[in-house]
Amino acid sequence: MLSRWRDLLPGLILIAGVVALFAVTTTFPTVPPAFAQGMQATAMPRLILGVIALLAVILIAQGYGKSESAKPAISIRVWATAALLVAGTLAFEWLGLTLTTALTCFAMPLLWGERRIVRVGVFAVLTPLLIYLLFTHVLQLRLPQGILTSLLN
Amino acid sequence: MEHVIAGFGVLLDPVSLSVIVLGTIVGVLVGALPGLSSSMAVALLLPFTIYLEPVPAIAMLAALYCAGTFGGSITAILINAPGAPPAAATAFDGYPMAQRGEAGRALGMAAVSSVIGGILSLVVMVIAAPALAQIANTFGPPEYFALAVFGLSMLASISSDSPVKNLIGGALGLLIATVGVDLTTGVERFTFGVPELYEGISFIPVLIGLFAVAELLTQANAKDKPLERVSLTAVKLPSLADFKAVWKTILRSSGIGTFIGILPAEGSTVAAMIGYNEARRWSKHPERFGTGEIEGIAGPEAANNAATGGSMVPTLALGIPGSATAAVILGGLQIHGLRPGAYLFKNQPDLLYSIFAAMLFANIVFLGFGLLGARLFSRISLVPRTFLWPTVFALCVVGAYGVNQSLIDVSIMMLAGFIGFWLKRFGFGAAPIIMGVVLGSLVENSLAQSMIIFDHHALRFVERPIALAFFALAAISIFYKPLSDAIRQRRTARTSLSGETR
Repeated sequence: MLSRWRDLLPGLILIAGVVALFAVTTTFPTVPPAFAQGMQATAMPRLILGVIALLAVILIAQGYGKSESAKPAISIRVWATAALLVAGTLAFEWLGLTLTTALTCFAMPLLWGERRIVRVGVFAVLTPLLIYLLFTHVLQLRLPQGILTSLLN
Repeated sequence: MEHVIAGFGVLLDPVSLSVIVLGTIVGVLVGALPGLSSSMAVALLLPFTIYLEPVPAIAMLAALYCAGTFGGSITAILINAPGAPPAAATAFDGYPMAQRGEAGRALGMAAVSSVIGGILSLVVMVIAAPALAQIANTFGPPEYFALAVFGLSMLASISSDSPVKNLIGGALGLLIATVGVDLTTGVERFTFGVPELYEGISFIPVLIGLFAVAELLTQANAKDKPLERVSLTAVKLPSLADFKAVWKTILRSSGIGTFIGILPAEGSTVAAMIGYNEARRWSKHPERFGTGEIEGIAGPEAANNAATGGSMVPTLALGIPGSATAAVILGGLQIHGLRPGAYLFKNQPDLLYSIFAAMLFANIVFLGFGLLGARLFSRISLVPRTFLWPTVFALCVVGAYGVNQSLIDVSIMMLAGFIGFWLKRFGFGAAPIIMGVVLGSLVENSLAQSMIIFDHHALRFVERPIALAFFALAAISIFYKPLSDAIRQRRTARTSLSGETR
């Protein structure tokens, strides 16, 4: 059904999101009109959610009877890259920026099919090193260095 | 006159000049790299401009915008892979010319047309922006609300598979802008107990996530395809005969590009496509288009670069971005504490001329690059994707973290990247969302103030003629295409029916 009804899935996801967020807006406290100065805090989000819901319905209606255009299958490389990025983000605080960047710059090229391991190694060392030197010593930006804090700061 | 001199002074300051040159070089490089757009480059550079004074910072971003638009034509002509969407139309005739050994002639024409289009639009910008800002000075909250609605409605007419998806993108951007403590009521909205969200979602991580991380994931799914490179000996300036053949096309496309650029939300890509189509329509040899016709390069190149100057007009004068990249530059203005509109020209009178000087300088510099360094810049596409995108990711992390020195911003960037990837897969672009985020506070504040003025009677918007005119334009931009399509379909059906009955 999803492949024979264009934009049904994104439309339904949007409507579900609208319902969920509308429910969240019901938890917003109401302030006295004098403080609200024209609009309560719920007014704008609800107005936008209403517009999104209306547009999602139009999107679904427009797609009725039209088949979904073929999309390239999501390769294992995308999932692996996404997992790597999430792991990098989670490790960011602990490992620090320089080490996280080095590991990402080592793992991602290999994941994307690069087999020249020496080049990858050099790249994984030089990229974070250049970023560290440029931002910490030239632009004076304090980057979190995690377990390398005592060494690099 | 003193403001003009002061504005051009940006080119005499070594730091400012260096960052403008840097912006121009980065722009041409990024523009030449397939997958990297000037919007993404401006988004990635924006966090680092915080360490600069506002004038050189905005001047650098503006220079990058110009140069990035031109850079795409190098790879469009030499390898049939437009480095950026605005250069897509250039490839139609540029690559066939390169294949028959005229790459130098094609690149020369692209560079010269781009520069003429760019400079003409800058002249319009420097005249029109202050005049428009002066008019906007008379606007009250109802007019600003209607103007913002009109700006968002124009998302329906930008190039995309579905206008509805663009409008949804704009609305999602507005929704993102509501996150945080509502300044009027003090009520927390969609913060889910995360203290870092009390001040709202920072603009830059969302921007970097939607433009760069989403593209990185898209690139992870792309198959490696070997690019066929056409050899290039030397770039040639257009001959007198070539110039005689295209000067009308260049002028026409410059006008089209500037006008399209001034329209909210419409950018260089739309301008280039219209510039190409109009060049073909007015040409004495329309049948030659697509086979390596020189007018097919002059048309889109003059138009796409003219759109850069044009798009800065509503951005600076009204605070309504003229394109996706202009939306990012508008975010830059806001980050530097500058408020577009009449205030900007009153409080920072030099800024307009600094932007003019920077963009003018960028045009002249990339003419040099285009003529002398095209061969070198085309080699940028040889950088393996396997090394390019991890570097982009490293810059994304530093950029997202650097603004507020906050780890939550890195997480927001990642989340925006993943959402952006899925949205892109379903045909939703990043640009409309960014437009919504940028315009969010203007829409909400002006609506709230309007409701106070109107004593909570929304229908009193009709009492304001300017606001009413903007609403009418918004309605036209939303409903014109579906209505004209429906009328055309009905006519076609009626014609075929009458043909059958005969």
